[in-house]
Amino acid sequence: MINVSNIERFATHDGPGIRTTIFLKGCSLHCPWCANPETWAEYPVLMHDTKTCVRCLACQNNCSNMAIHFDPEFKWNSQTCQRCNTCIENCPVEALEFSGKSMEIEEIVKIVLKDIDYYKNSQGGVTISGGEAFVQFDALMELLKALKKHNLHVAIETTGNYSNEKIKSALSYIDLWLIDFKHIDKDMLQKVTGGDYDQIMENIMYLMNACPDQVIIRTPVIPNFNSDQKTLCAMIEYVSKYPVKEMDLLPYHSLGKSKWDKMHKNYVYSDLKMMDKSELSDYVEIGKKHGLKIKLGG
Amino acid sequence: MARINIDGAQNVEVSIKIPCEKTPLEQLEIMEAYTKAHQESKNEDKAVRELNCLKTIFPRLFRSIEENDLIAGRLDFLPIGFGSVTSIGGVGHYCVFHKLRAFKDTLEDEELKKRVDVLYDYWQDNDVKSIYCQDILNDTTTGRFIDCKFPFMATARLSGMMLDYKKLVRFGVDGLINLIKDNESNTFMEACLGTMYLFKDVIRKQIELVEDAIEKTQDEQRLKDLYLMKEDLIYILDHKPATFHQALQLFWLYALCAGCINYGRMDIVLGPYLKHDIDTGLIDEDEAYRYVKSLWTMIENRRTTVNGRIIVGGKGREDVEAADLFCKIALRVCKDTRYVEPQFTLRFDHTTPDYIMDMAYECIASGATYPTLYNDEVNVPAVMYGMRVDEKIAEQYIPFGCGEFVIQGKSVGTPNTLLNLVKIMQLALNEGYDPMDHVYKAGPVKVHPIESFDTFDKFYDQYKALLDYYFDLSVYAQKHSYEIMNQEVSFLFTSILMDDCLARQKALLDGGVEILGGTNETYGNINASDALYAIKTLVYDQKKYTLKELNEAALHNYVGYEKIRKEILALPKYGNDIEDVDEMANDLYEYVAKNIRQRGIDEGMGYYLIVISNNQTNTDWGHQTDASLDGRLRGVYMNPANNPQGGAAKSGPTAVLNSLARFDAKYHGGSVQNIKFTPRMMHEDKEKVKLLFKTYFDKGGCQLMVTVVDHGVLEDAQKHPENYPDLIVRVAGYSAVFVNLTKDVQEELLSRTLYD
Repeated sequence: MINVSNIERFATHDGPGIRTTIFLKGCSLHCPWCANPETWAEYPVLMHDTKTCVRCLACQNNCSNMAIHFDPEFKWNSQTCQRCNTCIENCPVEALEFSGKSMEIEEIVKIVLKDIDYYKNSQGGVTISGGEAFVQFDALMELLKALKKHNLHVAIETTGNYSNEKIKSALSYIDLWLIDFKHIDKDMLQKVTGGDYDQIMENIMYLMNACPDQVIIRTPVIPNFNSDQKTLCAMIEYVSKYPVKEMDLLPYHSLGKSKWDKMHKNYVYSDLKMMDKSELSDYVEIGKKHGLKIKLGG
Repeated sequence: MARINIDGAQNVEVSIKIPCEKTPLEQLEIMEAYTKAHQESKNEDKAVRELNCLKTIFPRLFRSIEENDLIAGRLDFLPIGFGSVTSIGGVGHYCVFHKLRAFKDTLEDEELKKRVDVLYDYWQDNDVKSIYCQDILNDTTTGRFIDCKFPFMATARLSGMMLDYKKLVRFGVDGLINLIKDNESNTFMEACLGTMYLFKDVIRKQIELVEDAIEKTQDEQRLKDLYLMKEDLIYILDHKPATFHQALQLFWLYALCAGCINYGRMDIVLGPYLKHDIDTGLIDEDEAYRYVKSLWTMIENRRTTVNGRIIVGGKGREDVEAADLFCKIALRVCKDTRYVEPQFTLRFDHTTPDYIMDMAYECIASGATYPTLYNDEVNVPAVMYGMRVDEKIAEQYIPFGCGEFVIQGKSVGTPNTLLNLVKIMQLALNEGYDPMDHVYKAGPVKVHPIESFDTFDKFYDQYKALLDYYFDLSVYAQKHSYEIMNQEVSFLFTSILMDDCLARQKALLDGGVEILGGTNETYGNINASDALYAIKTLVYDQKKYTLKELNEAALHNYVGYEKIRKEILALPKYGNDIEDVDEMANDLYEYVAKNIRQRGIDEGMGYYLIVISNNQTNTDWGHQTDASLDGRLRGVYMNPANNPQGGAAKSGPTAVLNSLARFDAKYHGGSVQNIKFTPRMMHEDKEKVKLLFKTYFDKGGCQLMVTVVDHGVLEDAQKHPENYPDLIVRVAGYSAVFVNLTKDVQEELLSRTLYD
């Protein structure tokens, strides 16, 4: 079994060709701009839409574990909740839903295989994303092996925030690594994302040495974090020493905000404007000078 | 039995017609002259009578040449006259009663109004469709098209005739006259001769109209165009066409006279002339573009809403290079004009050049919605089986109207019968009564009480017994429409260009046409199959409810039964690539399609096939159909064509396409599938979308039509999110269903610059 947040078919931006992207649950980082905060926890998370909710209290009144309270705002206790779905069944306006469920590996493979003809025609395949897929390491390995049995092209989107041993174990099952490189400064990275800088850099380095032609470095460009020219140039220069496929600069967006709202979590970037691709176009040239292909957007 | 009143809308009419050029008095006089000819020819042979009537409207009903016309031929039609289809005028000797009443309302003079009343009364007994309706319609099972109270609608019309225009241009007018003369004579053949002489009068009239236009202009370029039009009209009067422009002109005038509103494989007909003219330097591609654009405008101006088919590409074309040249220019015109009509259609197979497919993609991505795409690799073998014809004939299949197939120049395939599969299911649930109006509509079929269906198969069998009854009504009504039309008219213009009327010396429906087929439009296919799935799952597999309990919920339009509806809606639905529910859809599809087809064979028809097409009848009929057990509420539109019900497809485009590709095309006579994309996806993910389409077609997809929705649609989606559950937007690092985004994100998406 593996905890899954979502499976997206006809995913067109997480690797080559037509793909199915499997979003796994669990993440060891807590980036404040995260577009998928519901994937942080390994367990299913109750999402509550304040705009739809009519505050009839049917969820609260029908919960035998007293996991829901309006006091006066909606509160959900993930510890006492049994995920019995009673609240959802009793909600008259569909304001509640659980994000994430446990699935059999076989079940996932079955869904993935439904589009095998599309992968074949487009040189596409499967992308495993998250959260951080390596959080559920054993299950991930099982999933990788099951996918590879069908000769599928497998890509993974990862933070690199885990032991190098795990990467080594997974290496032969993964055709394309989309690995995040969020900041070149140790303190900034650790302070803002909660990640282990040394560990991440070890993994990035390892991949760039072991299989550079199978590596795409991905950098979310976040205002007041890494968007200054000095930082980005230093990161580009660093990556350009390795013959990786490309480096993707992903302009900041606030499109995960509604998910933060549904989890009743504070989204710290509420006042920040979305970034346009064009703001980053200079870096394509800078990359070129360093012999590095830079792509804007995923 | 009380007289059936057929006064009312008789076809789907969305486009606003261009008003008649004649004064009301002139219009009245023409209608009177037509009526008089009809009356006075009462004892003549039907072909002679038809010709006498035609002479009162042709060439008189032709309009003046308009400013940008590069070919001559604009035609008015009146509430009384002769025609083939209901979209313009009516069928055979027709009177469109509600339009005649509207005409009367425009008159002020009481005397004139009385003259209209006389006509109205006369045509009550003589309008071909009325004669048919008196025989077929009743108060319970069978309504006229469009009267949505009934589970079954029937009409008399001769839709979708696509003539052998190759023969027309190959022989020319005089050649056809000689061809008629070379055959043994009879009254029909004499009338055909008279028809061709009348056609010459039509051409002469165009010459006069062009001369009138010449008088009115001093513009040099315009004069050049008009002189060419005049010269070419004079030429085709006595010669077979030698140039692209002449061939185009001849084809167009003939189609107008025949009352045909679908045109067919124009690349085959016109391509060789086009290529010749370009090769010899007579015209260049830009000049050809102007002519084709003028044709597009003429077709648009006929405003038939659901017709105007021009088909290019595909198997069975002799001069592929020439045909593709026409195709290329037509694609340019289509992209530039963005007209609703012609319904521009591309047939393709593995040999279709990449540049044609690329141009087609660009045209679609521009939001033109055209060309609609037809996969010959699937359709040709399917037509061979469905219509029981050889490969060579099947290669000449073409979709008309909303997507029904005919064989160009060889078959009649008009959809004169329509079934509502949801209403029929409701009869099975309610002992033969329609819960919408509590009228018994099961005819002689014994319908058992709902409690007696203790297995799913028993219920399904009951449903099938009712379907069988309606299939019987359908095939009878379809055949009878031909009998009545044949009793009244010969369709002379049409017969002359349809195999093999001249060689057999017989009118189209009198044994003349080689393949007398027909089609039956089925509606609510997916609502019905999703309802079957819900019944099977909740009543018989899970045993959560009795069938009666479910039915009670539907009878109450789910008011007070919201939980049941929620459970029904949460069940798998067709369109999500889920094996069980798609298989149920396929099972019902095959039952309906195979049984309709078999009835056609048993009745000696060339073919009789269902079509799963899409106009607004799914909406109109939905308004008068009670809540169904797929969770659809009372009065809500039914699913379009064989697409899922709105809101049901939630698993992305590959899933919906996989579901769509399941139905074996060989059992139907045309099925259409809609899919919508954002302009962003069509452009930025172009290569992937192309491969998505390619894979769908490789997997057996027969047809696809793509809507590219723009920001106006997104705004509408904000107001009516329930209508847009599968509108995908690429937001940034992830894709999302637009309506699932928060308002502010939606606003942001809307605020991005729109590049035209």
